[in-house]
Amino acid sequence: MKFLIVDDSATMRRIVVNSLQRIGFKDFEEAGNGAEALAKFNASIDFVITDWNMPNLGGLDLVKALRARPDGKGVPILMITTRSVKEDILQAAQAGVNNYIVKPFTPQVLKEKIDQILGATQGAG
Amino acid sequence: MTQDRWNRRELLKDSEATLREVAGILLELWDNQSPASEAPAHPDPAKGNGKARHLLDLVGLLMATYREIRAVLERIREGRHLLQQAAVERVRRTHEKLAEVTATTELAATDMLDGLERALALLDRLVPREDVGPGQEPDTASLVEELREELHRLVILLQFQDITAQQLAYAAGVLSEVEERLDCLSKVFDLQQLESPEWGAGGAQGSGSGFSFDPGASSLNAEERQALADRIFTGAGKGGEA
Repeated sequence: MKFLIVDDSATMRRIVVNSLQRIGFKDFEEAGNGAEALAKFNASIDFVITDWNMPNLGGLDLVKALRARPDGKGVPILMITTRSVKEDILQAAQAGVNNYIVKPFTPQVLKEKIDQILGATQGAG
Repeated sequence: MTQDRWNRRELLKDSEATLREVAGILLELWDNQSPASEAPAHPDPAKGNGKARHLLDLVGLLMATYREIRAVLERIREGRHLLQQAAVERVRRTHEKLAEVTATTELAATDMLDGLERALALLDRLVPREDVGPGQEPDTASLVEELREELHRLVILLQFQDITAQQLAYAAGVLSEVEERLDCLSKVFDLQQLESPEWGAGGAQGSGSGFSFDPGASSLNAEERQALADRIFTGAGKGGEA
């Protein structure tokens, strides 16, 4: 399974990659903002993990853009962000985010959300 | 030209001219009321009648007022200088310091990540994960796994850098807004320019200097905030809270 990890913080991208490696995943692509992620997104990406606040297309706009693309409609998207206001979380859900993690996260929560999304999408498929 | 700017121009620039005009009218009044042959070019208060004395008193009063206004304007000029020196520049320096802190913590976090990843890799080389199992001494196996967990926990803790960077970006945004407003305030006092200050519409809204941030970023109550997200996403699936 190949992950596309989108975050403008290089430290955060490394932390997420490190945590995914601990869970057992090995294939990653990274992007520093939404525009870069859209350019890198292709059929080989199985899962997108994105931050919200980023320059050059934020996470919410990235999710909307992906959901508008035929090849991005069904890709699982997990948002990891500091934004924790109810209205923001609702906005993310409405945009098409499959699940939501508030920073700082724990590896347990990351694993739990990925399992939930994969379980739901496999169940739906 | 805005009404606001016009008002300042009226208030500050025309005060001297207005006072001089009033004094001129009063002197003209004096000239008109005295027969041309009797009226001296510059009335002598000691010799004039009561009305003339009052008019000259008024001229004197107006000139004194004018001098006071000049003194006040001078104080305003000094105040503007102090405002620029003490506030605007200090705020700018604080802003620069915040940017420096962000860069330093990012560098430190990257170095720590490098070190932790090297330590984890060394641990993997010393005792590969597949070797930690039934064949190993139970104590060694659990200790190695515990050490891996501990190192990974430290990796996870470095999330503080991202959260701190956003908090600092927010503080820097607030400072930029204060700096901009103080600068505009000092321009209001600038009697030479009398420019209309353009109050900044930006500020700490969530972006600036090409860096996007969450003004509410926090490390506190992470579990509570995650629980809210969980309720919404569970509800979204069941048509509940969302």
